[in-house]
Parts: sequence; structure tokens; C-alpha cells
Amino acid sequence: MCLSTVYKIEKRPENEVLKNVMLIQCEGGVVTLTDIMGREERIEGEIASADLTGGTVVVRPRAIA
Amino acid sequence: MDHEHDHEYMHEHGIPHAHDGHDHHGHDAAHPHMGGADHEHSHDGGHSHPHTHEHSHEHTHADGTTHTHPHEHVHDHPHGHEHSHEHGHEHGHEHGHPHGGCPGAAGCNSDCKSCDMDPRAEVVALMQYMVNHNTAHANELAQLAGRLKDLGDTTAFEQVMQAVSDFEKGNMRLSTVLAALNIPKA
Repeated sequence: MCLSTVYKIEKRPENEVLKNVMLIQCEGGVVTLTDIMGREERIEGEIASADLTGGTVVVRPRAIA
Repeated sequence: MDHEHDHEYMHEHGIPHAHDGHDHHGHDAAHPHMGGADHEHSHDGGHSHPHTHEHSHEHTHADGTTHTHPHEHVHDHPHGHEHSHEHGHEHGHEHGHPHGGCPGAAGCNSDCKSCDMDPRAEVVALMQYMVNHNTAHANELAQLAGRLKDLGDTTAFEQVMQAVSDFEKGNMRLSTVLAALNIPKA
């Protein structure tokens, strides 16, 4: 139930997408992140990994053709 | 509420309890602020006045990331028309907003003065979340203590329950701070 930080591709500071993420929804190839303040980020792609004890989620964006 | 209580353990089931008037449920931690335009205009003269409204933008970065975030704009332009919430002018706002909140959000290019976030509101929301979170963890620890007791280790049970009690005291302090933070400043 901890809040997570979401990164793209791999866990690196420069890849941070959103902190304090409380909700992640995956639908139609789009990962929608919502933080504790209600801000949303949408990434076309999929969840690559979710470290629930470390509060870290990595999203793999879909390659742009 | 600012009182101390120093009972040995918590409730019968080791469940921490609230004395601060807060609803200790995790789902209350979030306070979405994604609002649409929230202003009303009913004037019809050709005059000018500053006004503020908040709305959400959606935009897509070059890397394919699409997101929305709230904006607040202050305008000062003449009105000689009915308002339909359509704007016939350009907004010159920057998109160097932080991705994840102040302070120290990675990739933040904001000079803070132009930042559209309310850092205090975010801190309060995170504090609320943490207090709820700690309450949930205290519950989980108490359940673990119960399992130790079931396993016959009463010493460990008592030690863990004492730790839970201490944990709850610390959380109570946080609740008190949170209650003070929630009082609007004059």
C-alpha cells in the first residue's frame, strides 16, 4: 500500500515519470499513473516491473515507429 | 487533539485508534485537484479586470508521454462579450513543471514563482497519507504480534506490542501536527 515512484525504461533519476503514485491503471496498451494530488501521467506501453517493497515501478514505453 | 495516553497496549486486538477527528482510511489520503474552469462571469460591459481560473491541460511530450496537470492562470483582458469559456488569446505559460511534486522533483525546470502547484497542499496530503499508512502498519504489526503469541512466544509478543504502542504514540504526534496544518492560516 506504499506510494511508488514510476520510472521509464529503468530506475534512474533522469527517467522518473511521477512520484507518490497511488494508482496505476493499464488499459489498451496505456499505463495511467495517478499521484496523491490527482495528477495523471499516461504512457503508451506496459509495466516492466513493480517492486512493491521498494516502491518502484518501471514502465516500458511502446517504441515509437 | 493534544492529549497523551499511556496505556500498556492498545485495544483488545492491538488496533490503534484515532483521537484527532481524522478518518483513518487510506483512501482518504488523495485529494484530486484536477478541476475544470471554475469561474463565473456575468458582466456584459467592455471592461477589464484580472481574474483567475484553473483548468487542466493534456499534452504529449516528444517521447510519447501524455499527461494532464492543472493550471491556474491570471488574466487581465477586456470583456465585452458573453463568456463561453473559450479564449481567443494565447497562453504564454511554460511547461517546465515538476513531475512528482515539490520539493526537489526530478526534471523540475520551474523557478517556483511560476509553478502552479500548491506545495503546502501536497505536503498536507502526504502527511495525511503517512498517518493513515502508519496506522495500517501498526495494525499489521499487532497482527504479527498475535501470531507470535499463538506460537507461544509471549516475550516477543509483549515486546512487539510495546513497540506498536510506541509507534502509535509517534503517529499521534504526527496526527497533531497534521491537524494544525489543516487549520487554514488567517
